[in-house]
Amino acid sequence: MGPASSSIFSSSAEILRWVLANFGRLSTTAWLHTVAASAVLILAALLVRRLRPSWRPAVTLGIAILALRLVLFGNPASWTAYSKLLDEFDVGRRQNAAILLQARHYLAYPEPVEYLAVGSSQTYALYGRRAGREANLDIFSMPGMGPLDYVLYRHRIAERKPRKILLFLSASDVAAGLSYNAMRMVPGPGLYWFRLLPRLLAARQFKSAEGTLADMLAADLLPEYKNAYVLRGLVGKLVGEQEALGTELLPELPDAERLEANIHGLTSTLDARNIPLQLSFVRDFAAFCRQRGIALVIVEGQYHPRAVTQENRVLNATVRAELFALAKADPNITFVPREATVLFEAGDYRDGLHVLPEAADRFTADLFTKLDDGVR
Amino acid sequence: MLFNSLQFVVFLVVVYGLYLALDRRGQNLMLLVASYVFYGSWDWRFLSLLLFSTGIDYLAGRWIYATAEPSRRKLFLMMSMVSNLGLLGFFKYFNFFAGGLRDLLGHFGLAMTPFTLNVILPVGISFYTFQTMSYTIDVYRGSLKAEKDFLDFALFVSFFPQLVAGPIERASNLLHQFAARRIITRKDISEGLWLIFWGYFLKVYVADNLAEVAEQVFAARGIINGAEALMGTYAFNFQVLGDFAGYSSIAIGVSRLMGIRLMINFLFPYFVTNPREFWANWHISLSTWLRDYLYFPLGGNRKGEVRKYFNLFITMMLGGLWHGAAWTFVVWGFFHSAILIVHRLLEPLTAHVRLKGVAGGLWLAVRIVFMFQVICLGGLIFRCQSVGQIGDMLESILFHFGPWTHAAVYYGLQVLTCAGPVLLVHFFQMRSKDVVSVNALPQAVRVPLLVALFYLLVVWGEYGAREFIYFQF
Repeated sequence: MGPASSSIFSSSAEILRWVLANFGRLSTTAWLHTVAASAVLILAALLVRRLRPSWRPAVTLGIAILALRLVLFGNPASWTAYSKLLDEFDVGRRQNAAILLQARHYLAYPEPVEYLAVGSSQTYALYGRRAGREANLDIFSMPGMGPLDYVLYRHRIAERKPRKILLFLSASDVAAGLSYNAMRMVPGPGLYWFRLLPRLLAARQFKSAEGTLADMLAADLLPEYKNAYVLRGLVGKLVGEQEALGTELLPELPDAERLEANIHGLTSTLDARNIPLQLSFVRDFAAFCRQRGIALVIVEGQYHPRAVTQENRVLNATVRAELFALAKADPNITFVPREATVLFEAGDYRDGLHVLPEAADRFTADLFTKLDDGVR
Repeated sequence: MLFNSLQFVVFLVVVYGLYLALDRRGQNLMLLVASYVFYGSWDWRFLSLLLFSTGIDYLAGRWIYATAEPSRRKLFLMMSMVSNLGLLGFFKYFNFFAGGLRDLLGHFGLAMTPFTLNVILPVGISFYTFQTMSYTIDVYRGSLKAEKDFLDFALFVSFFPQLVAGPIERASNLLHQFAARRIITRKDISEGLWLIFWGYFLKVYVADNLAEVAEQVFAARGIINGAEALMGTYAFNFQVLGDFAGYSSIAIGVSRLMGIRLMINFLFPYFVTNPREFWANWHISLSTWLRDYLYFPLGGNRKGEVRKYFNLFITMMLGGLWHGAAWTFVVWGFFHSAILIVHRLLEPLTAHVRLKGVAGGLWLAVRIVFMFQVICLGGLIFRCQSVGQIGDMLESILFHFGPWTHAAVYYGLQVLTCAGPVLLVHFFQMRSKDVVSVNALPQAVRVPLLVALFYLLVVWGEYGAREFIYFQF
């Protein structure tokens, strides 16, 4: 599973056939959830006539909204359909990945997987090709996936039954600011709000982004708001919005331009003041893995040599020391320092962050050999 | 603190919780403090202006009421007028007139040292100065008793739901409500909630979606594609309706939740057949203010035909300038005075047309569509950044119309999808002559309508917390 687009159906009959064929793969939780919610709504609709007349309009409205919510966003069939109908061109890359992850959330995973690589498109570029070949490796990835995403997706990650989770972490993740507007589409924090909110309010960068807290709260309360991009994408596709405008929302930049954009991002947006907040999420995720008996392997990340400025060297050293300390304190964590892996050169990169498949193959072959040998 | 911000939602929840827990006196005191917090959240320095206006008009009202001597009454009235208009003039028009004078002298070759100041326009100043002036004038006219209770009066001037963008309330409507114990009925709650929901719908779905279209079209300079210019003009007209009527609706709804009834500020301004009807449906609190405190004192239509048209002209020109210090508002005022005058001149000719049945319906539709185009022309003038741009936009629409580009089609679809629900709800409201008529619709119609509006708002709303257009006035 990665940022690559899903296969697209050409007709609704095809979708129906696919859904029927895959019903057997649905997890018990998915079935129970959908059936229970439907039963509650049907019961509520039957009981509404027994209410006092003054209450009926509001309750009927509430039931109508909940029923529509169930049909649109609360069952496996709709998400499977979205995953097959929409692609990144329709909704955006991260949104598309969120749809695919949601659709796969409903599927049962009876067999455990040895390694699950969790992370951003950088992780996908690194492990994608190997995951296609090797049964002991799977990927849980979405564009821009950072430490807070790991925490919010932790239960979905655990559904894949991994024995070991691989993170590829560097200053580019841990010293980056939170992009709050990208948090709307991921699973809501739920009870994690109690831990998250004080940290967000105390965080330096949050003070300039009040609207994004509102955004996250609204998304957590209203699935319609959270998943608005799905309906927008569907309607946009239906009316041919992109074609009408004659533009692409997600133009694929030439590699050279993307390289410059990545390097600019890496050399101008990383900030040491972001490290404590991001590390707190890494720690929470590590604690979750420990509780679930999932080993955590943190591989020190790399990025294009041109982005390794003096400031970034300092940031990398800080992040590395913190990750090393984390691994030292927690026997469940294995930290693989950069020098213990294949070091990438400028020619190995497709842009500022993502390596070419051949370089990724060299890297993963070496890494998995060392992991199998029990590197620590 | 924008209505469409998380900050305001939290503020409202806290204020409403306290409001329900307090007695009348406590409610008024708490509302006054909350109103000052609300206003001070823009810039605490502006509070001094609000307090100054409140103090001056409280004293002026008391002194006018206490004396029967005409000259002294007039003196106190003048004190209020000069203070309020002085504030308004300084903060709103100083730079405009100073710049105009400099340009004028420049035409005669007289150079003048620039003496404009960097004056910040206090938010909502035009609204609360007009509101408090109406109180003093009413006391002077003897139609209202002076308010003894300073707390109630201060709350009348600063009541936060309508403080920064209206409706411009009258003391005769609001003060007695502050003096009495409020009873909040179930109807108040359900109608208040509908008005708040509808207000947010108008602002977040209609206005803020169309703002992007209007901004793109009106950002262009020179001659542009006429179809795009026309769609941009339609977009702006629905944007400004959604923006302003949305604010008013939220203000009225929030007040209703507290058991306080504010005046209706907007009805169905795009379902009208002539300019007079338009002003009876659009920004009603300002148009009635101008009528009662400017048009009537000028003589209204009691001093002959010529004077009537002159009074209309003056009233609309000042109405235009009320919106701001710019030549486009002068042109806008002139335009509206012109269409009002032309309508009154032509009214005797069209009054004889009496059609029934299908022909009558068609005639009505034609008049509504025609009037909508006229209103949109006014909107175009209002939105343009300069008089030159008005000319360019008109030339684009009239002489460079087409071809229908992808952008024009897209803008048109945006206008249709945003304006459609507004027109539908306004149609229901117009039929029942009630702005909360949606609550009275049969359940089979109301539930799907509300669900559809909910989805449009939540899914397609623009949640960028864009400022309300009328805050700048």
